[in-house]
Parts: sequence; C-alpha cells; structure tokens
Amino acid sequence: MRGLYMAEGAMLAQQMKLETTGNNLSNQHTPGYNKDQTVQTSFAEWLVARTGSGGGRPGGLTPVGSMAYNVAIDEEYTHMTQGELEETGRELDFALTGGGFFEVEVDGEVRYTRNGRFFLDEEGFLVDTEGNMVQGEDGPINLSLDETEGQETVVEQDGSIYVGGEQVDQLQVVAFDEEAELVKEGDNLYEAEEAPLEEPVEATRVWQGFIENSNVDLAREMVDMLEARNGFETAQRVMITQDAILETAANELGALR
Amino acid sequence: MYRAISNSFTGIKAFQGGVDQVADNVANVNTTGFNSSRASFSDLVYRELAERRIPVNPEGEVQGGKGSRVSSVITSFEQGTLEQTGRPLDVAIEGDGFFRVIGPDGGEAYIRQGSFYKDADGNLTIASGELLDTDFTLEEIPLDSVSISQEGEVYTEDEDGERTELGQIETYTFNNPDGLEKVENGLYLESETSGEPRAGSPGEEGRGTLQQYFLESSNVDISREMAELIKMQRALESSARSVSTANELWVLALQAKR
Repeated sequence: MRGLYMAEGAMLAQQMKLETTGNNLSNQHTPGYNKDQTVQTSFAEWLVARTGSGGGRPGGLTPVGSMAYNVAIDEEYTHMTQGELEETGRELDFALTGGGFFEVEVDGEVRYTRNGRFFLDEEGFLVDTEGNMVQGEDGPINLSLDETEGQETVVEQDGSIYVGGEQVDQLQVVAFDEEAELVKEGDNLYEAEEAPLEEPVEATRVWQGFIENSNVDLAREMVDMLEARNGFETAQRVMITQDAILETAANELGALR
Repeated sequence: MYRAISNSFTGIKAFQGGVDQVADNVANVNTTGFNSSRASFSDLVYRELAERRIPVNPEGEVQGGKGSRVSSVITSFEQGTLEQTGRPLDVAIEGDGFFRVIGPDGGEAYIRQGSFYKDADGNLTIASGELLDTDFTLEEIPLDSVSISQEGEVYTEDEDGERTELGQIETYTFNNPDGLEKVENGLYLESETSGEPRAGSPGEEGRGTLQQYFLESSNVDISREMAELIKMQRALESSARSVSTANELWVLALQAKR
C-alpha cells in the first residue's frame, strides 16, 4: 500500500514545482523579483526488514536495507542573483547592483526590497508602489522641502541624494549575512529574521534611472516545467502499476477456479 | 492543482494589463499632449506550504507564491516634441506642469495639451468645453493680436506695437504626478496620492515655460511600444503554457484511476 502514497507524494512534489514555475513566470517582469526554486528532500530513511523467515527462526526479522517513505519539499530556494538593469530614464527609478536591499517601513516594521520603483507621496516623502516609506539615514526621506521645490533630484551611486546640488539624505541600503534567511512577503518585500549587517556593502551601487528586472530565466523555467510534467507522469505510472498489483492481489490471488 | 493554474493565471491577467497599456499608448500616438504609460508589476502574498498540508521539511519555513499583479501604472511625463501649428491659441508647456481647467460643474481638472479656443463670451476653453482657469477674457480681441510670453503673461498688440497686458496663465505642478487620476480627453484629476497642486508662473520653481504657436505631440515612441508588446506577449504565452501544463497534470491525475 505504501507505494501508492509514495507515488502520490511524488506527484504532489512535482505539482509544487510547477506552482513555483508558474509563480516565477508570472513575475518575470516584476522589478527586483528573485526567482524561487523548489528543493526536494526525501523523508527520513527507515530500515526495512522482512518478517517471518528471519535466520530460520519463526517471527524473526531479516534486514533488507533502508528506504525513504516519501518525498517532501525541503525549501523554496530564492536565487539572489543579479537581474538585468533596464534603463527607464525615470527620476525615481533605482536599481541596485552588487547585493543589498532598500529599506522601507510597513506599519512600523522594517521590510527590504530590491524593487527601486519609487514615487513621491502627497507630502513629498519617497514611497514604494504600495505607499510604504523608503528609509534614509534617519527615517523617511522627504524630497519636497519648500526651499528645494521643483529642483532636480540626483542620486549618486553610493545612494546619496542631492536636490538642487545640496545633499539632503542618503538611501539606506543594507545587506545580510544569510540572504536565504529572508522571507518573501509579496509586494516585492522581504522580511528579515535577523538584523542586517552593520557595515554597508562596498560593492553595492545605486543606479538612478534604471530598474532591476527580475532574474527569472524563461528558458530555465520552461525546462523546469517539462521536468515537472514528466516527473508527474512517471509518478502517475507508478501509481497505476501499484494499482494493478493491488488489483491482482485482491482479485486473482486466492480466487477459486 | 488549482494553485498551479491560478499562479499562472494571475500572470496572464497581469501581462494582459501590460498589453492594454501598450494598446492605449499606440492608439494615442497622434494625440497631442498624450503621456504614455506603463504597467508595473508586484508579486502577491506568500503562504506557508505546511498550512496546505503539503509535506515539507519541518525545520524550514517553506512558502509558495501566488503569482503577480499590476501594482501601478506609471505615466511618462517625458517631454513630447513640440510641433509648430501657427495657431495663436496653441500653447505648449516645455518642461513640467499642467494647465488648470474648470468643468461646467465647477470641478477642477488638469491638462498638458494647450490647444485653446475662444468661446462666445471670449473665455478660453479646451476642445471638450472646459474653461481655462484665468482671470481675463478675450472678448472683442482679435486672436491674431494675442501674444503669450514664456512666463505666461498674455498681451494684445495693436497696429502701433502698443502692448496691453490682459492677464496671466498659471501652470500647476504636483509632488507626485504619477498619482494623478487620468480621465478622458487628456484631463487629469487631483487625487489623494498626487498631492496638492502648486500654482505659479511658468518658468519658475521647476515649472516649464510656455511656447505659443506650438503643441506638444504625444510622447509615445512606437518602436519602444513594439518592444514592450513583444515582451508582454511572450510573457503571456509562457504563463499560458504553464496553465496548459497544469491542465495536463490534472488530466494525468484523473487517468490514474482506471
């Protein structure tokens, strides 16, 4: 019987893989999106033994080796690789190269994003698409101070913001020791379980007038999709075979002829 | 299985939104003062797989995505090229800013294209009938004698070159022009996200200057639109392929029961 459940587990795992691919494909044009990959793992290995005939003793056990009972999803691995930069020419589009994240505040909590498509809100604060405030050196960044009204905003590669030639603030760009510990939250945001590194990353550059495209690779996703489909079909065949065995056991063994 | 389909379906819907923007831009390639726009995307909330009773490694937090959506539409306020029309009441804004017009119900709206007409009472109106928000009229003033400076001062000149000032055309800027609500006839409405309009003379505090006898052409770039269309179409196709693959999986699952 357990073969049936194993086949089911395998089908489920392939289905999950397809869900991930579907999500990646849906986000192939989401700025700053980092693709996910389903990593599978086997259940714990169990020692399997034959009963009944062990060592000539009735009721004894003869070990025949170990096996895993099923397959599980180990993790959704997020690939934190650089996406391509696309020039938009928009004053408030920013891309990061060389790791690091922008900091935004959501309901009093800090979140991180690679999507640097920012706007000014009605009071002149720099916000993301959802209206969350982008953080500078000392909290929210206001670019619409009265004396600098209407002047051009220039952001240098180190994130310093100049309005009309005067430095007003610096974009807070942080990096993490273990980027895999970041948890996706939707709206291009990540939640971090650990505080970011104290030292700013030297290699990180801010590019004004660019956005970072998602790092989804269409060809790779298509291959994953094929793999998921074929893996699913294989598991389905196993299930059918199991069913056939069970059918034989139920209907033919011990049948009176 | 439903999730596998819906993940991709959200993508199809989002990319459809992207195609819609391209279509809108292309349709307005010859609309004066039209500003092109683009869809921008976000991913949707993630959910723990364990909650869905999918076998996962109990030590990790494994979560799956739910697809994407159009999170905002970004309007490009890049300058369109100025085209000379020779009409005295055609006024283009070179740089940032909008004209303000007043609708028949007294509602205020903002517009980039400055193609004005004189109505029976001598007021300046736009083609759709809203009045330009000014403090002067052109009653009994021949149009050919009207001259508008780069800073928005409106004069008449008689045959001797004598100038009489009539009034001032002001322009308006916003903290967040992306937040303006786009309505028909090239009009924009102030919204919660756009911020308050700031009035002033053209040419000051970052406001663009006025160019009489010119109109700003649409800032749609057809080759860029075609590239965007291809991008969206391919993305849509790949998501559609993913839906049909999910469907195949579904069929295979059904066939497991002979």
